[in-house]
Amino acid sequence: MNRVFSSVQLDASGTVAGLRDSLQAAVGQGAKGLLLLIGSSNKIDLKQLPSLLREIAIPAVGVVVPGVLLQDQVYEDGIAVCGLTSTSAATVVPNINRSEQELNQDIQQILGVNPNPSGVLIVIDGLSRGVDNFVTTLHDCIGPDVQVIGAGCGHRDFSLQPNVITTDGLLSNAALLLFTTMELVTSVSHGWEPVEGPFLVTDASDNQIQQINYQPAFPFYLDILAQHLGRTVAVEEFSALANHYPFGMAQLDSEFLVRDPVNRVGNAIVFAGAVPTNAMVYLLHASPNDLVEAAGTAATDLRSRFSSRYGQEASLNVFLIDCISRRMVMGEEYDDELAIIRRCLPNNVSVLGILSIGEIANSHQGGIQWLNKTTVIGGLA
Amino acid sequence: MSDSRQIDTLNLISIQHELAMNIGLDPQLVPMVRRLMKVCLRRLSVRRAYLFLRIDEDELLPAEATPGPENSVFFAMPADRQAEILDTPQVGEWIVDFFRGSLTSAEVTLFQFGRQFVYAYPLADNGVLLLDRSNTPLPDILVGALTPVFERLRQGCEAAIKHEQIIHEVERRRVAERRIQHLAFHDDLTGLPNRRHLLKQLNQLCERHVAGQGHCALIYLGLDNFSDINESLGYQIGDAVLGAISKRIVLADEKLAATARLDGDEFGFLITDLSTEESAASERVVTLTRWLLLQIEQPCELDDRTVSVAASAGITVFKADAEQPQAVLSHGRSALRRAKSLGRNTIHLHDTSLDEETSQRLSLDYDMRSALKSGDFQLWLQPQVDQQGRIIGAETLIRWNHAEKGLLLPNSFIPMAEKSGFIVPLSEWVLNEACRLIKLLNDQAVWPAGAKLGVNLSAKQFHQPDFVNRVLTTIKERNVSAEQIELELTERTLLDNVEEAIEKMQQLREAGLQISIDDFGTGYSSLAYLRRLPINRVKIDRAFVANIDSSTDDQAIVEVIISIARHFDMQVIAEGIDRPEALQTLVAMGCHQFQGFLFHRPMPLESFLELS
Repeated sequence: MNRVFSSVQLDASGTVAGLRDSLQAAVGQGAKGLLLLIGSSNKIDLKQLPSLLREIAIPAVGVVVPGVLLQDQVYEDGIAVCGLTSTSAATVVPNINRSEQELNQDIQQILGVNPNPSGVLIVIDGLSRGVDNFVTTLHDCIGPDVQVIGAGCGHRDFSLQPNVITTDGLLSNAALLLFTTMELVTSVSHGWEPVEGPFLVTDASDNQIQQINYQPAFPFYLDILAQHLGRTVAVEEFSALANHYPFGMAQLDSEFLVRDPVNRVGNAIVFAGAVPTNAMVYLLHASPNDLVEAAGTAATDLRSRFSSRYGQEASLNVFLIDCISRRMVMGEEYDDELAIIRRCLPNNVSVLGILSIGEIANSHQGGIQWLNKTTVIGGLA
Repeated sequence: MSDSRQIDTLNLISIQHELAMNIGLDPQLVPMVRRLMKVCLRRLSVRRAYLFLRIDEDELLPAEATPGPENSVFFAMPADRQAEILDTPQVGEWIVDFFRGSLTSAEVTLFQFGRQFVYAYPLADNGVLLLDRSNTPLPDILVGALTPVFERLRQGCEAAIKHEQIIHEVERRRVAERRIQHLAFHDDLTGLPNRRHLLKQLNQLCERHVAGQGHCALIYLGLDNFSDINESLGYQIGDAVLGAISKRIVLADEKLAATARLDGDEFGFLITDLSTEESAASERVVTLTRWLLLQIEQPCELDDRTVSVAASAGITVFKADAEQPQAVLSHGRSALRRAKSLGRNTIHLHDTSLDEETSQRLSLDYDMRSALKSGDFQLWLQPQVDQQGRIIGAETLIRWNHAEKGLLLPNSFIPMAEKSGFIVPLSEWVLNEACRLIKLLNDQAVWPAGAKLGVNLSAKQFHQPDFVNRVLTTIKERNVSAEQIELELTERTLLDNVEEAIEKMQQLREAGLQISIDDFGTGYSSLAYLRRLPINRVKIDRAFVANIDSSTDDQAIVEVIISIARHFDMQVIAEGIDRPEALQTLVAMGCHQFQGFLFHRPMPLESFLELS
């Protein structure tokens, strides 16, 4: 991504002094701005970072993520210091829970200094209730022709802590936008397949399903799991099984939109993304192998689309957004996912990415979607 | 990936229901349309959705809508102000034809260009929903299944537009009512609340009074001689002065229930909760009033001049539970009148005696008007004589035969009649009655040849625009000779507007009426215009006659009056002759006409007739 990032350097020092050196190094390499991808297991006290960022002579912003992806490795405690080639391109939108109208004004203002973008990287508070509203508003502002790739940021333990760091302080409910005029191509895949369904969501609000097929959602979910597994499922098993059995919302001409069940409130199930009433859902499942294959497919698809368009791959730069939930499902086999992605891409490309809490990509029709348990790969040329 | 051309029943129902359920959830058009479009983008996997709506001329253009072709507006999601879809071959023309009413089919129409599929759903005659989709078409069964959903959209839009029109109309009326309310309770010139507002506040204060609250006060403030500014500098300057003063008189630190412009140059301040002790409340409000007067006295710097004005104030201190709002206002006004009568730039605190005076005044005014209707007024006559005591005329003098108080002299009711304006109808009655008396005296042949009956005119009557016409009409209607009537004017009446007076007097003289100046010598008439006044006779005031035999000052003045009268060829009559010494002195000085107790007291007609 040499035209968006002037440099990418992993700082594994775990100290403010070490990080300061890394930042200075990036500045020395000609960066006009800095983006820090901070693994949430990093030992540095985040409260010290705003003042550190203020020391730097160029604009700098950081996001806390469950893991930093570099080539085929995950760094939960490392910090990727990315030098930006443009000062105006990385902008933070605070308080994404605001009204559509207010967000629209903010985004239009940012677009005013980043005219005619062809792509945008979003990093957004993955646990904020404002995610859906923000991506819808962004789509309304930039239209269907600007390609989008994005990640939900946050801490690995899903704790509700500030996760966007600016020179002014630590923010929750914020989004970072990085516009580019380079052509961005994305490829999306998840590998989850339906094992039960369809079912009709008969009562839902935001990210909670109250009823499925007119029955309380939580017992219904346990019933269909039991039906699929051929055994009774105890309430206590929900946490362990839910990660392996997400729901998929049917779409007309795309893969299922995966919704990850993350919690239970009474008889309602809480998902890592909005599920509307009247949505048609399926129970999904995938083996680790299915997931790895899907990730490989995404990388291959991206490579072939670039090859057919440009005929050469030398300038392909890859940004990878991969859901932490996939890693949790796969365990140690997750290394295979990163390996296959790396393998399916040409040797001379660098892979930078985020282990994310939710992913963002365009649908086939240009809409911006909030995804769960999905691999999104973006290529810039 | 599912095949878009295939769709199972549950999915179809799911899509239909989700779309339909999102129509009409919000009663407002734009949120409703946006909500539906979001669902269309997600559930129908469309690239962009457009809604074109026909807008009649009298309908409101929603703020978020963009003008489209042929009196339409459109919404797009994602936003597209340029309506790119209209550039797509056939689609633009189709939309224009639709809004021109030249399309006959109400069915959904599909436009396909390579891998682009545009579905146009007519919403009856009201508009069109366009769904722009790439790569693959919608399943046929879904295309058909959406028709009833979008029929519901048509109904939803219609209802939302009507709803918004009602809301707009209600809001428009609310704004108009607020404006009317404002106009009703505010003064246009200064922007201050008006008398009605102050009275309303006063009413509320009295209605909501809580026991134990402190005294309240009304400051009734009037600018001194403000009419001089209007007349000498013009109303524009007068208005500017009022505007400037209005901005100054702000009692920011007080519990001020209202500030108002009560009348032309009068302002009111209603202050609450001053003190439970009346004396302390009075002291406080007097201090405030002094401060107000000082503020007003500061010169007003207008565009190219500086204007200074002073003010007087009447204050009434009251307990809100013990007073009627109208009475408070009336007390304040009375106190201001008293302040002005005591001299300008003065403060006067209302007291009870002022109430009694007001009450008496109001009662007197009512009684006078009743008396005129019931014929309780009479005209008495005081003969005027020559040196030999022969009657040469008479002055009519009004008397009120009051049912309870007996015979009342003019000084007990004429000042009130002048204040209340009752003097005008009363003066008209006097003229009519004088004409009747002349006719009667003529008929009975008791009226010497050349004798004149004097009729006193009030200033208000004289300054009526149609005064001359009224006098002449009355004389004509009564069929009496104008030469037999002498109109008696005071110097002050003439001095109010000399040019107008000269013109009116000339018209009266031309008609044959005689004119005399009553109380001559007290009004400081200037010789410059005395020369121009068409006067037949001057009356030497009783003030100069009473001690004329012993006062050299009075003699000197009377000599000058007689000399002036002779010079201008006017007759001279002395009134108030009640002693022979005074008569002798006046005769010696060359005065030959007299009126006074020495000859005759004022008398009713019956007595007058007996004289002859």
